[in-house]
Amino acid sequence: MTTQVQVSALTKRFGRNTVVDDLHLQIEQGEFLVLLGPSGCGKTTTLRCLGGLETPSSGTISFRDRPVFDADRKVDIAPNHRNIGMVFQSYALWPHMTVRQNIRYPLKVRRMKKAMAEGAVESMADMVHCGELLDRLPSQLSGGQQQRVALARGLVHRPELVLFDEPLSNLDARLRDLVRTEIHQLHQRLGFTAVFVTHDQSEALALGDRLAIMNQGRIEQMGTPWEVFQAPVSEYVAAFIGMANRLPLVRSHVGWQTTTGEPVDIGSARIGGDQAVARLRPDDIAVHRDSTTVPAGHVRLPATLVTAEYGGRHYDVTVEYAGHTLYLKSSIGADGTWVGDLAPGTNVTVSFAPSNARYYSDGSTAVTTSADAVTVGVGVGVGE
Amino acid sequence: MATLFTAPTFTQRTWMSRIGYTAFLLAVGYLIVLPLVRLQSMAFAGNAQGYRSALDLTDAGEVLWMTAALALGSLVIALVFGTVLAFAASRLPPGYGLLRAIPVLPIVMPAVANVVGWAFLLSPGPGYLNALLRGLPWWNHLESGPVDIYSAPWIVIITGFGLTSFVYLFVSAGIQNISAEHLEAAQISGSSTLGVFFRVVLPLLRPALVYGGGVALLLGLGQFTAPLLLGLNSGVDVITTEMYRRVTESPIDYAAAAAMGSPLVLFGIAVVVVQKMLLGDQGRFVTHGGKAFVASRTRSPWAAVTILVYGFFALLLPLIGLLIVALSPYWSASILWGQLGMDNFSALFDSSHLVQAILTSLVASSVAVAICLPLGFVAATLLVRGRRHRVLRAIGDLVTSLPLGIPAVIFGVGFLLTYTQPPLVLYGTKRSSSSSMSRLWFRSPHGCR
Ligand SMILES: Nc1ncnc2c1ncn2[C@@H]1O[C@H](COP(=O)(O)OP(=O)(O)OP(=O)(O)O)[C@@H](O)[C@H]1O
Ligand SMILES: [Mg+2]
Repeated sequence: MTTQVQVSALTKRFGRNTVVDDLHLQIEQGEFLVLLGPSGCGKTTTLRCLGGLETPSSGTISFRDRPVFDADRKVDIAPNHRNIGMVFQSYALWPHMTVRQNIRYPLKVRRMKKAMAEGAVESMADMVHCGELLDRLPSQLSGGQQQRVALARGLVHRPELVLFDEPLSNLDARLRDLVRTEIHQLHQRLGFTAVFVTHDQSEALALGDRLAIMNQGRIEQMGTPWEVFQAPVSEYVAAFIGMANRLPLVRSHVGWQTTTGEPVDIGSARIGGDQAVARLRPDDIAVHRDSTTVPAGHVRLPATLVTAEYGGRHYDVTVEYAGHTLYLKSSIGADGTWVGDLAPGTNVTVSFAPSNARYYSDGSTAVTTSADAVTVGVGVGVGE
Repeated sequence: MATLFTAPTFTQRTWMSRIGYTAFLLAVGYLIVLPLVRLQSMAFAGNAQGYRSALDLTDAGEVLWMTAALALGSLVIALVFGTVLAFAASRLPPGYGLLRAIPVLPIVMPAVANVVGWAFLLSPGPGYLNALLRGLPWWNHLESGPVDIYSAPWIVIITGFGLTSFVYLFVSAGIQNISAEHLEAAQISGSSTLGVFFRVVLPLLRPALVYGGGVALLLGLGQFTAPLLLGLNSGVDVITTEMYRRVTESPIDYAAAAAMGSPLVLFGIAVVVVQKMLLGDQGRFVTHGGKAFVASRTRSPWAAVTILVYGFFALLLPLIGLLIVALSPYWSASILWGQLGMDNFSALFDSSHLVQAILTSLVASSVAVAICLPLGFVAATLLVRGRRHRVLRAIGDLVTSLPLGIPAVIFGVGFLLTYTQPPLVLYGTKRSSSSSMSRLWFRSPHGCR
């Protein structure tokens, strides 16, 4: 595998506000990298720096071995000389051109006559299922069709790097899943190198060969979706990747325990200090009518029911435990729909397998994990 | 209103507003159409005597040609400058926002002042700027010139400068509607800045250009100040100056003046209709979503320089010309620095005539504004929100577009003729100037598109 994009020490300031902070990134050829992070963490700015739409304050960017930006050597290649494609959140199709003209535009201005003659526009349009729409104007298309055309326009000239800035967020939920799958298929078929910005973790997990979780202009964790999902390196990443439940722990003379004194076996996680936090996914917590059905080795917590919302195959249950709100997903199994019949305020017992939780020292600073903590979590979501 | 008693139903309200708008349109239509009708009836009176004497004019063809040349020439200049300035204004570096107002200022500056200022600077003999230019080595053999402000090309240039502001206004509004992402998408796709401008910006600006260009063309056709003040010496004659001459020099011939105005009226209506046709499906020009036009990368100090250079030539230079002459005892090619002073001003203010003139202008303008604002507001509401009244809206659109298509001189003459006779005698009072000023409001609905 060859390195397609190399970013080092990239920094971008707006006035005194540092938006991208000493960013290092290496993207392999054909790799689909997802930048994931909350609003305002600098994803779009990073992407725009790659595209040349924003001039970084310092650092270097190179495509293959060609430097396209180098603050020290005063290299700053304009976007139109970078051979990239980009798909915008707002589609950004030109309203005065037909679909055909929109898709053909990159080939035309780059004088790629051979590609045009070989029908690249038509085959690209077919690939995104818009072959029938070539003579329409963008105003005559649905949102999903517009985004597919934008996709075709971004890929038609086979760019070295394709940039996606939350391309699915303007689509409604069902369409979003559909177009997401189509992007995935296109990537498998065409093998383009991509950087895809999103704040949606399911998009990130589905599409990414690797994820980069960003926090205030820095990359907090970088790894395969599997690595990030199983072993988030910090509480910040854990929270972002779906571990919505936060449970404070304290160290006692016998070991770690919850604030109500339930002992918790944190395994091989090493934490300095006397305060810790356990992070848990909603599907890793189970709810029980009484404490007798809690499997051995699980941590059991006395709680009261707040709400239980029916969700088809499961209930979305909210409980309160010692002043903390916990969210859990209770699958509707053999024992039926009993959670839904409980009145709010009813006492219940919730439990989790300590190996399914991730442990961080409070304040989410340094975190040490061991390899086996990752492998233990394999059974996630399968059941209790 | 009925709302005082019972809440009216939806259809009741629709009908009431429909009746209200109809009455409004009838009144406005009457006011606008009546002068035109009177002009035509006058031109056709006595076996179309007016048209006969207008056509008898030996150089009728030349006047028409000159009118068209002036309008088209200044239109081209206004379109180019207006678009370039609007583009520059959208790319100003942070902190230079105030510069955006500069291209609009010539509208505020009275055309007379502007034209006279240029005359002082560029008149072939004593013009200050010409005198300066003659100092340059390759022109130092000249006795006069090199620029003759009284010639047709320079009248076109001066007029074009004045019309630039109107194009600028429309195009600026158009540019603000183009989202940054549409331009970035083009650049990423491989277009240079120039390519982006010609392939994306210009096509998307088509409505603004058609509209602003139409307005500039109509104003250019009705242009009066520059040809009258500059063209008289060199015999540059256009329809409006010819009309003006017919109604000011004896023998006064209203009928011929009225007939002469007809091509302008016809052409004006044609322009309004063509505008509507060219724009057609508005969906093709609407870009939505995304950030506004300016991305930090595209800001450039050149934008500020462009606007400042324009401001220098279109505003500052003529003002300087005016100022120097105003401060000098007499006008000559060399500035008499020692003798500059306020003598001219004190002489002016000594005559009570001036004070009276200023007062009259002020009162007339205030009354005009007081009439225009409510009328303009009702018309704009009808055009923008009156989607429920399709037919009324179309008529309102036409009626309010009409005055734009018809030069001020024609309206002036028409108003003069109509309202000096019963039932509406306005002449001789300050109201007459207000009524012709009320043409102003006809522009307000166009401003709000
Ligand atoms: N042109 C600009 N001038 C000043 N500040 C800017 C500019 N563009 C972005 N910022 C700031 O930089 C920060 C990061 O912005 P960015 O658009 O990269 O966030 P993001 O991660 O893409 O967020 P979102 O998910 O909401 O799109 C924000 O705080 C934003 O206010
Ligand atoms: Mg963003």
